Amino acid sequence: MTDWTQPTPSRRDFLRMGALGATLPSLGPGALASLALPQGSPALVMLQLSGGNDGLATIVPHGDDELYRRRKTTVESKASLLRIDDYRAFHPRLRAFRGEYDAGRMAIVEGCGYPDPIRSHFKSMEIWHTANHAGRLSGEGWIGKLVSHAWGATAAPDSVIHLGGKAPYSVFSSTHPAVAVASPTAYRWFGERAVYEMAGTAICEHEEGPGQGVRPSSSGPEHVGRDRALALLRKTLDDAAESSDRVRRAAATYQTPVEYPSSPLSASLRDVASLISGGVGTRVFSLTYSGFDTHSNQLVGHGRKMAAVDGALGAFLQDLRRTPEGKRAIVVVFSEFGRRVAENGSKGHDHGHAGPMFIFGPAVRGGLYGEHPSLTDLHQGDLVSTVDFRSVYATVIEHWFQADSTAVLGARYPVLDFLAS
Amino acid sequence: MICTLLTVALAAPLSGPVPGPHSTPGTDGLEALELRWDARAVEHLWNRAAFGIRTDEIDVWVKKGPEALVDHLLAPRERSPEKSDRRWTYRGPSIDQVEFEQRTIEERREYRTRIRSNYAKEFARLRNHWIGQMLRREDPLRDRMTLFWHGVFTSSYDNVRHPELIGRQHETLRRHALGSYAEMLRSMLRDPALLIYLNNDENRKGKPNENLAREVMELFSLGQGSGYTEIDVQEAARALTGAGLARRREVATYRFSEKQHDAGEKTILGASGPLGPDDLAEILLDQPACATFIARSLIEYLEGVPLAGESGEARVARYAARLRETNYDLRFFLRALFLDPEFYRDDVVGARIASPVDYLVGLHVRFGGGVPAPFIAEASRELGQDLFRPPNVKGWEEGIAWISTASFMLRGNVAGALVGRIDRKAVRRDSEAFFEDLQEEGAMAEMSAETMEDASRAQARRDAMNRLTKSLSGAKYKPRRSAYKWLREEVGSGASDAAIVAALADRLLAVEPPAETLRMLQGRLESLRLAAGVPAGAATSGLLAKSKRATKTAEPILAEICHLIFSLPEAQLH
Repeated sequence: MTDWTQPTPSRRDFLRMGALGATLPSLGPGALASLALPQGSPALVMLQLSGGNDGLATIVPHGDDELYRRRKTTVESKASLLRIDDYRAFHPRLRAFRGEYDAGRMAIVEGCGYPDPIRSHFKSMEIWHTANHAGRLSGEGWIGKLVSHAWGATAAPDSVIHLGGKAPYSVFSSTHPAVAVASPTAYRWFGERAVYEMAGTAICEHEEGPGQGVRPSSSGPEHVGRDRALALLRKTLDDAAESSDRVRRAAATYQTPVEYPSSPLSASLRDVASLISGGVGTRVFSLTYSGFDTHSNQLVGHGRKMAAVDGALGAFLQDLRRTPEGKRAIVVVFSEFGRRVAENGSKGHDHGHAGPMFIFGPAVRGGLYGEHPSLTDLHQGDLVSTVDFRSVYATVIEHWFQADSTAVLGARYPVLDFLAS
Repeated sequence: MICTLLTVALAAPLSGPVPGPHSTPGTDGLEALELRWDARAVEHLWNRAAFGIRTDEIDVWVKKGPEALVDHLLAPRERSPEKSDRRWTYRGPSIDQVEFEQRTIEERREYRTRIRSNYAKEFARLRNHWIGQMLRREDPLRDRMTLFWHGVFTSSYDNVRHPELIGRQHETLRRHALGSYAEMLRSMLRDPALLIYLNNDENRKGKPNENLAREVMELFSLGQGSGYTEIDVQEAARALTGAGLARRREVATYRFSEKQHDAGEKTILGASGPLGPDDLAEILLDQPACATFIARSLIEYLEGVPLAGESGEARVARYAARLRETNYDLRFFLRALFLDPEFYRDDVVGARIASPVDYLVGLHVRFGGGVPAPFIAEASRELGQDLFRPPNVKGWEEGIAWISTASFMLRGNVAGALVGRIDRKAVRRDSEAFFEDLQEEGAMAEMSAETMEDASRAQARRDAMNRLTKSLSGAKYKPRRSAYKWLREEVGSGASDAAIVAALADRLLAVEPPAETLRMLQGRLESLRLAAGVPAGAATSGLLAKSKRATKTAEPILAEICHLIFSLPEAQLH
């Protein structure tokens, strides 16, 4: 009698390999790892600042008197700013940013936005997530599309990992659902993996020959709604079962001399570092950090956010530089919009438009890109964008992943110079 | 289960000249859909209008018919004075500014600590109170709709920071959940928690803060892209100036400050005048877009699939027209929807992804009860639905967004704890075994025993199952055995593996599983049974034999099958 309780590779593994036209030479526990991406592949870390980060308080145009005419209670003292040049300076708490910039490992793309700006957090974020003004109506997230176009069927389930509870729409894909995990070391189902896989494939363990695979067998038209939902759920469960062990191991075995500050963002970035150096083969990591919707008392609240981002990113970048895999990673920081130039009645700023994007990493050509938007030539009180944010995406797609940006983004956007081609 | 089939010819739910949406003409001039009232329809309505139903409760509703069930769900429940504990009220002191100022620094610190700990206690009590109501199933449709409106008129405890205000908002939503949306909107524009959450207590004449003005149009009434302009938002912000709070001793109440209000002329969506907050509510209610947005949101939430295409749009338009004609009567709306054959169409039944609250309360209902409310609050938070702390002003995103690879596995783990398969010890053992394996394989060779212990502790801190099993053992939770007892009664002690699996899946799942899933479960049951040395007869599994020893062998096996069923993709649907 076969001992069904032994965690052997399931028949699903055979099916999957069969489907890919390959056969498994050995069935050791590491067999599945061969599906992972080659180590040392370039990695991208997308950090989203949710709520609308005030670009003018992040990279401060201290050389422009107009700023001080429009802002009285929401500006840091000039003396405390970390000067870049006669016109712009970093927020006083962005000391690590300043260090990266001075070392030539940080690109600042000024005035990022898109035509026909929208001041709704949710719609604007959708536009950033889909790279399309129609938002979700246009289809899947831009990272989801990148996976399909660049790696297609060979993409492992953990090609894209979101560190956190709920993944942003950017990684949404019906064919390559992203792994989303808040605590990688606790990323598992209690029970045998082979049993959990049965739940996803519904392949009976005594059944001979190929089972149903992940598509539910049709049980008649009355189940059409259920079966549509089941197909996606089974695929997600399948990915969970496959990625669980790999992700958990990489996170649990990671050791680093770098001291991260104690914060949830830091902990998640440390997890990213562990997965990058653990050779899981993930191409894109996504993180979100919220609290930037500073309608009131911005100076205090935004200052705290700046310090938290600076501390966490600073440690992370230092950590990445230690390993060869880490050096093959870049970080892109974005937000759904900037904030109104003039302050509101509550020492805060209402929703605005254009803002800077940041790209970090040893492979980045540091410096200033784009053009700082005018503080006087405004659209309904907002900065007018000078660079379409999709140019930043296009640059990453073309020069970092060597993929076709037009296919992913649905249109041609000028490529910038912050990455060597 | 006996499938009594009743095809019901429905009378218009409420008399009046307006044709009911249930008399849907077929799209291609075909006959109108008919409502097939059977066990599947009954379970579907309980899944969506409430949080599920036990298998043995279904038949009575099949017999009574759809109108009886809809009336039962909508019927007002008594809230007699002696049951006033059913309404949550804050207990304990609040920070009194005047008294506070007179204290020494030392006293202030002590005072603040005491208040904070009381706030935390009261906030936990509020969450448990609401979940307790869901678990008791006394007024399930009201709980369902309050949950919906909590995701529309969002306010987060993290920003409001006072359990009393959050509790009062909850009671207001609860009161109007089966009443009128118009009244709800008017109340919300005077709701202290909402005014704080969206900064309107700082929206003053000459210094407008447009946060509330924008969100009330985008998320609470008209919907993004429905045609209002940036100018409308700015003018609405002016109309809302002065709508703030009076904070006195223990309470904060709504106060409209004439002094801080901008009484000048404004034009909002074509209406002009010296408009104020109350005028804004009426202007919004008067927009066709408002009824359309609310109708669409309600239908999509309850049906669980997007309304698309011409027929979808036509349906929204019909329901929206009714909302306007009835002054946004939600009881009327829900009655029509729950009697609408479209609500029971094949696209819809079994296709909705259960939210964490749906999943957990549903598990409590189907497995046999006894799940502690604080556990559900915590588990739901870990799974992404932290009651009274929505992620942002848009509330929770429903549907597949609930399911990530991690939350999928965690749902199964939570169920494993509730059926008694995973406790604190099991979590610790799992973690130790994991690290031991890594070390044996040489993956952690360089780690000292100390580092290893740190790593293990760090892992435990970030492990939701560590916290959740602790909460269960703190509550002295024991899984109910009613499902197993029921099973023997239902299928008899001589039942086959196939019959056992079919009965369990029927009871524990809110949707009918496909045949291959039942086959897989049957195979798993057979393996476990053989491994435990329980032989099978020609047609009987031997598992439900009536003896103490057999029960002792059978229950862990059945618990494992229950754990697996709750971990299935099918268990995420309802």
